Amino acid sequence: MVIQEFFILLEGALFRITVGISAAVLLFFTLTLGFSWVGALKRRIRVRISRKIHASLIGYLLKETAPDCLHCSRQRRNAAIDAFSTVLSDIKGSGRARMKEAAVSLGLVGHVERRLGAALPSKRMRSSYMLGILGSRSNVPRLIRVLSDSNQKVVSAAIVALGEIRDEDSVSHLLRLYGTCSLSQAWLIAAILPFFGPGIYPHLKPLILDPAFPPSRTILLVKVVSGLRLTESLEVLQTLYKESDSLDVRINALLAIGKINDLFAVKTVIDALSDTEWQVRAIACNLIGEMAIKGAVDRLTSLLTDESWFVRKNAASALVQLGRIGVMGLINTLNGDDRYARDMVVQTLEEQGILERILRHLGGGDERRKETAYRVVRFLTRKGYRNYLENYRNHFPLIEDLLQQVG
Amino acid sequence: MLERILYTVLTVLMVFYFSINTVYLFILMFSVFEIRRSTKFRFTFNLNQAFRFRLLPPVSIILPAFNEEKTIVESVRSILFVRYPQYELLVVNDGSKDETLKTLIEAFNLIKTDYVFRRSVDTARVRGIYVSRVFKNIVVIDKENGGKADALNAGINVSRYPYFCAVDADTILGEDALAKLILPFVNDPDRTTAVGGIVRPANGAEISMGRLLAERLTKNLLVIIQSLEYARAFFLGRLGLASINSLLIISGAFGLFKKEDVLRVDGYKKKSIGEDMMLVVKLHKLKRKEKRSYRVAFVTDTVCWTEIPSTFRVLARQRVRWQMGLMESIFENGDMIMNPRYGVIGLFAMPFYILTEIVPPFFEIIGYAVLSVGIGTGVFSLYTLLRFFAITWGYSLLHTIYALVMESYGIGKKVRLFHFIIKLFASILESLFYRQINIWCKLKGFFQFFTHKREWGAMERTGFGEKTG
Repeated sequence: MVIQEFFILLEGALFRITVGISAAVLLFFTLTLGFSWVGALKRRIRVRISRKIHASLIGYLLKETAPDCLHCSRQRRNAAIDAFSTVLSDIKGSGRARMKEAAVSLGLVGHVERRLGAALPSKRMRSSYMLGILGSRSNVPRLIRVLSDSNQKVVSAAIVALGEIRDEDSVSHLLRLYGTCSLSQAWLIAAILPFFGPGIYPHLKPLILDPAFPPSRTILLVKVVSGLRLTESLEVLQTLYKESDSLDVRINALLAIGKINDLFAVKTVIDALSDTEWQVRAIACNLIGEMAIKGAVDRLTSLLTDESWFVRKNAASALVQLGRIGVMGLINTLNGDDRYARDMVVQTLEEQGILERILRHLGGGDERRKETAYRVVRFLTRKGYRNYLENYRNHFPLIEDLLQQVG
Repeated sequence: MLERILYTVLTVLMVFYFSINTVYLFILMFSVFEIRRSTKFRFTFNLNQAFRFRLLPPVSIILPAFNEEKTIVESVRSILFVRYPQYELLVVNDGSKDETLKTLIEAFNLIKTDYVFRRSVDTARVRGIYVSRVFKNIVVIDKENGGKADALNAGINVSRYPYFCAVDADTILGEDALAKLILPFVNDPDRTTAVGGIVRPANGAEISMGRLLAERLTKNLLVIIQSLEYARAFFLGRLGLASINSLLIISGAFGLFKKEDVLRVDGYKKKSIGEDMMLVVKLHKLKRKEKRSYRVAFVTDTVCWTEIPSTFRVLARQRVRWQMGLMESIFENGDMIMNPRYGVIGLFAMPFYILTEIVPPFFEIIGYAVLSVGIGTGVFSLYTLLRFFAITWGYSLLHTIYALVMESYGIGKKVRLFHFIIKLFASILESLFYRQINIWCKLKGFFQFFTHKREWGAMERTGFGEKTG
């Protein structure tokens, strides 16, 4: 009996607690719902105001309206800031500069600037972001100070903002931070640095060869230099390519060298074709295709017999990129003895649609091309690639006769 | 005597449901805070800046397909519409018996190629690799049938990039979904190991050329109720659990992983039926063993849509499979349960899944039996019954309603009031028949797990754009 009473008591207590909690949840729910609806309403009002401001901004941008009409938005700063940021994200050139001036004249920048010192990190973060979008050069010193903010997300926002503004004074501060910040912030810094232009190279030079940096950070800097495409960086990159212990660093240095594409760079890339590491040889093949070094056809053709599939593949693709002279090199390899090389050539010719183009000449009037096409058919049939040609029977009926002729 | 037993059982049930619902309440609160936090801190950079500064790392998208000839072209197209700077799409044809491969070859002008890749994870034999002449970033892997996990592993082997995104063949990605899903990796590359995104039902929506043009509420009640379940799972469960780094499931329909970490746990478990959960649990286990700080994140403002079952038969098959997958993940990692070495995963997340997914069906059955006997013998008064239902169904109904509110208003998504009201009514109907179906499926899954009849049920695809509901 006592147990039953206990259970009844427990049940009653549970029910009362549940009712209490449910009431609390309901209250929480109602409040959140209320807040959400109020928020949604506010957003709608703000969007409506923003749209009006947006329209007047576009008018101003197209010089249809006088700048005075923008002053009506002074009282509705947040909506105006949103509208400015949207417009500024989508435009460039002189229009962007005019919009920035208008934002300053309306006092919007001053409003955002004050929020940079707010207690809430989310507000500091949004202000940094907005200052970047508004391109406020006068606020660069403030944003530089934000780089030492205690909240890492605020720091990240400041990095991106400085990238938007691109003031050279901030480069040294960003690079100082680069050595100590997290990998994600290093990634952000490396992403924005190329936008500062070639003037940053003297700042980067000592850092690239700094052995204290781990390979991942050196690679990021090499990518920055690669984006700059400066001839003067060739020496540093060559040193890195030749002396670095990290294969990844060497590969990235070679890629950066390839982007420079001058006489010395060409020599380094051609030399890389005989590197001991297959990854380097494969990258070098790609670069030769991209740099269109037609003089390297023979070297590439010899790499079709390389022990690495990737090198063979990249060499074949590079030959196609080199145009007619490269394709002829590929076709001549079809008559060779190396089966792996022949396989790669046939595959590349088919993959890149070259085989189809060659076969089209079978019925054409150009005798020289027709002869090449016959030669390809002969090679393919003799070397055991008849099945590839049979795929094209429906499109090129002439193949049927040729296949019978060749046997 | 009978009266005493009935009251005892009823009270135990009430204590159980009360505790479970209260834990859910806390998770719900975590979700609210997480949404507020992510909304406040979304301004490091916008997507325009991310594209301009090339902040987003390249990603391999892996799309396993088995007998998906009806939807595969739309799915691939939907991925081609994704706004992302550099990605490759790896479609894995897992030995389909229908015309999936032929459909792909014709639609995307594929040719077979001698593609070399490292076999980092063991998979069934790859019969051939096809590349597209039109879209340079499409690769199709044709392999012998080995299950979804095996297909995903084959995709991982062929993938070139450091992150991979697993999507289902019936998934339609939002335009910016991938760009938003990668952000946790951009913001915290060292710690982030996996990221999940929100999946919504595509049934009833207007879809054209692989793009979802408008979300519409289907007329199929079963689908509407499932959409509530999805809202609850994503906005309450996963979001709240992710905020305390206890997320154990990243949907197989849309999840992003760091390849390096996945390879260290030997990829997806072969022949697994809950491969998505198994992988996440293995990742947690690895990181906890290594005592390394890590994060399995969840992103709320990224969306993809998927076709969900519109008939009871397919629904039952899917739920049985889910239950078996869940049990497989929990039982095979049983050493983690209540083990302080695995921190919050061992002490909270795994027991939480056991108590909310495996145990309740049994309690529910006992509950129905006790209630029947109690009502039949006149032991329980109407007042007792009301109190019981308030604690069990009423309390959980609150969570559903709240999840709905969060889905509709919490992430700033425009929702028609009419749809909201329909879903509110559906949430009441859920307890009247859907809940019982779910219990039956969970029990079936439970027993089937022990009888070793572990197999994937076929999801009958109706094809996007056709009437599903």
